[in-house]
Amino acid sequence: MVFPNSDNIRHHVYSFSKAKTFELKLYAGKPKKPIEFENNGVVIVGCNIHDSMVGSIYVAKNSAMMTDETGKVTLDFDPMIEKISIWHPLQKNNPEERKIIDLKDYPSYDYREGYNVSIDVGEPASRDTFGDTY
Amino acid sequence: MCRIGLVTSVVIQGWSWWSSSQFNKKQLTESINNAQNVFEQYTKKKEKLLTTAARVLTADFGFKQAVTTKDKETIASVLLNHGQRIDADLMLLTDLKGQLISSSLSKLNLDATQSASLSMLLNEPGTTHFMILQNTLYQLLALPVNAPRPVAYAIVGFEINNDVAEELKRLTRLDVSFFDGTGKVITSSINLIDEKLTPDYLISKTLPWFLSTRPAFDSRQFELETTKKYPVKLFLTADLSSIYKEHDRLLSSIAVIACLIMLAAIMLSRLFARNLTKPLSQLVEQSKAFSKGQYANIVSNKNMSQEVSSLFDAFSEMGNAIDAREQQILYQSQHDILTGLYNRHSFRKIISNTLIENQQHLLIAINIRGFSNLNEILGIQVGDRCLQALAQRLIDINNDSWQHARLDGDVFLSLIPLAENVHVGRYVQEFISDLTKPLKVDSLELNLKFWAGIAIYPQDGDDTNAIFRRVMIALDYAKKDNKPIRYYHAGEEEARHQHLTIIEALRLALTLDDGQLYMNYQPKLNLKTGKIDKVEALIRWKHPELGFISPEVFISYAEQTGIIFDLTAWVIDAVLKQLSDWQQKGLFIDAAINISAQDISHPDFQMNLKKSTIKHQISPEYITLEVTERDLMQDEVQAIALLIELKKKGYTISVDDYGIGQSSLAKLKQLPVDELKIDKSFIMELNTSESDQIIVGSTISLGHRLGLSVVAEGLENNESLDILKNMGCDHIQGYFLSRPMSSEAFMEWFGSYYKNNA
Repeated sequence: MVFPNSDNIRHHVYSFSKAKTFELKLYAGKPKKPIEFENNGVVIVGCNIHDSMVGSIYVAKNSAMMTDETGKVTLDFDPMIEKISIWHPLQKNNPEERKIIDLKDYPSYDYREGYNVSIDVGEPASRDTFGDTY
Repeated sequence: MCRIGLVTSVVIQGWSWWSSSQFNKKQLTESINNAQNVFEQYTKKKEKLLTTAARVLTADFGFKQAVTTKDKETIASVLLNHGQRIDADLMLLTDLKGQLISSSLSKLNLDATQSASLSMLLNEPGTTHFMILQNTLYQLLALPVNAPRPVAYAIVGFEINNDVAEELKRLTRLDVSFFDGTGKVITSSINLIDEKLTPDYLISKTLPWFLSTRPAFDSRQFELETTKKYPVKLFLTADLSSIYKEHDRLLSSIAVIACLIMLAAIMLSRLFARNLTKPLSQLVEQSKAFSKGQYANIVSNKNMSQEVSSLFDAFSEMGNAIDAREQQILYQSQHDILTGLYNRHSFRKIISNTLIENQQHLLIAINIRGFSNLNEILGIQVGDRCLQALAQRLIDINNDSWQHARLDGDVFLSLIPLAENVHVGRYVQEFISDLTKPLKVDSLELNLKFWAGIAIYPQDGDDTNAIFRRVMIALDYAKKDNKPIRYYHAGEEEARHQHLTIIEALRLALTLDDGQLYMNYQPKLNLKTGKIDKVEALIRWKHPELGFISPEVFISYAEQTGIIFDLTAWVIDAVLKQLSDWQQKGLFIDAAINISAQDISHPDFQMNLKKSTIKHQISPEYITLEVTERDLMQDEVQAIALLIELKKKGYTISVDDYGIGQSSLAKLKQLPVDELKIDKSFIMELNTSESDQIIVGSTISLGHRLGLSVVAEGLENNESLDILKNMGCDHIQGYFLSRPMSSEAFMEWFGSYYKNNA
């Protein structure tokens, strides 16, 4: 992945995620080299000098699909699929973890219904760190 | 005064003590409230400070980087390093679930409760909590480490140690102590050397105070915002000893002032006592003495103020004035005001005091003759001056041992001591002649005449009252007997007394009608017919104790006292009854009843007479009313009118004791009389006295010529009887014929007379 900086200010991109730990120290324009994401998983990316800049990169092992606004996604039937991982960028628990559902746990599948999975999500805490009451 | 001072100072003391301790309490409460505020503010500020510092720390890139390496040792070193940056005493790192990852304290082992507490910390990131770890109290703060999302929690801790306590003390000026849940002190600004600092110590420590104690501290305690498993108590303590010192100082100075006030009060009261209260109580004593009649003065002394002094003087004056007035009143009560002599009342006392056993005294009572005339002619003022002059004359005669009084009106009494062997009569004569010397009154020279009554002590009476009475009796008789000088005769008083006794007995006798009063009858002989056709009814009185009392005596007494009317009424009734009695027995006879002037003047006389005649059924023809010549001549118009009427009714009116009264023939011819009774003085010696014969003869002749019949009283002998017969006298009465006798005796006599003289 390449992280071109089209802003007129420099950014310091970083991640300490297990899937990929990297940093692009204060740069402008396009970095010289792209970053390679060898592992699958979730990589939370932030800017060191801009606390409110947070992003997530989902590196799928096999394939990944996104739900629509209603949270609905239709998968192609594949009997080889045993597990499905689900991830939401605003999930409350560990942002790098995925919720894995084992299809064996759903023997009586009703294709009209689909699988119902829920994830706790929440707005992240305010980054206004030095605000408070002065 | 003293009491006021004492009360004042006690009140001041009490009030100031109370009010200052109230003030102090208030101050203290304020202080502690302030301290509490300060502490809270301090904590909040500290918290903010810590939070700020901690946030900066956790935002550090290097820190984040170190934390995400998951290398325990690196993390530990970073914790230490960064902790030092902000002077944190403790830094911990936990995962998102609260599990401890690393700590700046080596060998930190959290037990279950501590871990749980830490987890609770993470629920309120950004707020501080207090927690005890490894016996140290920390103020802890948990913050997320955002890389960029929260990957871990950093816990920053600041130790609450002595420095903090000292800082707090400096800010609040109270001692600050932190205790854990067991009461063990964590840290405190109080340093005790000998004793152990516990909450209990702070609450119950006392300081000695007089006979009891007072608390040494006043504390406020709070529970700190900790996880409930580790309660931490904060004590804000005020050391009261300095407050007490100030308080005591204040009170002792007030006590001094109060003592001074008391002293001043004592001195003032002394001053007042000397100048006011003592003199006042002296005056009270004096007024009490006044009310007892003692008017002696007390003198003011020079210490007194002018006002008090003049009050004393006024009191003295008052006392003197009252005394003088009393004396005057006393004098007036004892003396006659007009003449200055003693008055009746006080003279008795004088007499009483003067009469002593062995010395003779003379009492002379004098009365001015014709004084009321003098008053009328010359006027009362001259009369008064006359009395004054007379009094002066009395005093002038001898003003040493003689004492004089004016009793009433113009009666004076003198008490004269007699020397031995004095001729009383001459003494008296001299006295009277001195008195009767011409008296000069205004421009007049008066020659006064006196009646004088004289009594001699002790002959005429040996006690004051007796001698007084007797001299007055003597004076009375002097007037009555018209004697200028009249001595008291022994027994006169008793006679007078007897007089009263008799009168009372008579009244009683009339009321009782028990026979002590009875009638005697003396027959009269009709010379013409030779028959006994009349009797004279004479009253007799035999008193059960006093015996026979002469009618002359009691009748004259009766006339003097006015009971003659009742007496006469009784007599009339008795006589008429007797007549009725005789008539029933066949004896028809005329009775003559003696009547006095008072009887015929009395308005009820005629009616009573009529009642009696009706009652006893006697017609007036049988009744003769004998009235003395003297009584008839009194010239009472009503009396004469009555006699005229009675005569008309058929009564016979007889003139008794004729010849010896002062009758005028002119009157006699106008009076309604039927009969003359020639007084016995002319009849008793008729046979031997020629003059009597002449008088009697002419009287009989005169009487007949006037159409009257004549009765001769007092016939003693036969010769006289013959003479009277020759003269033509109508009736005779006398002892020669018969004495007066009782009705039974009369009946008997009458019977035998008829037998003998038929």
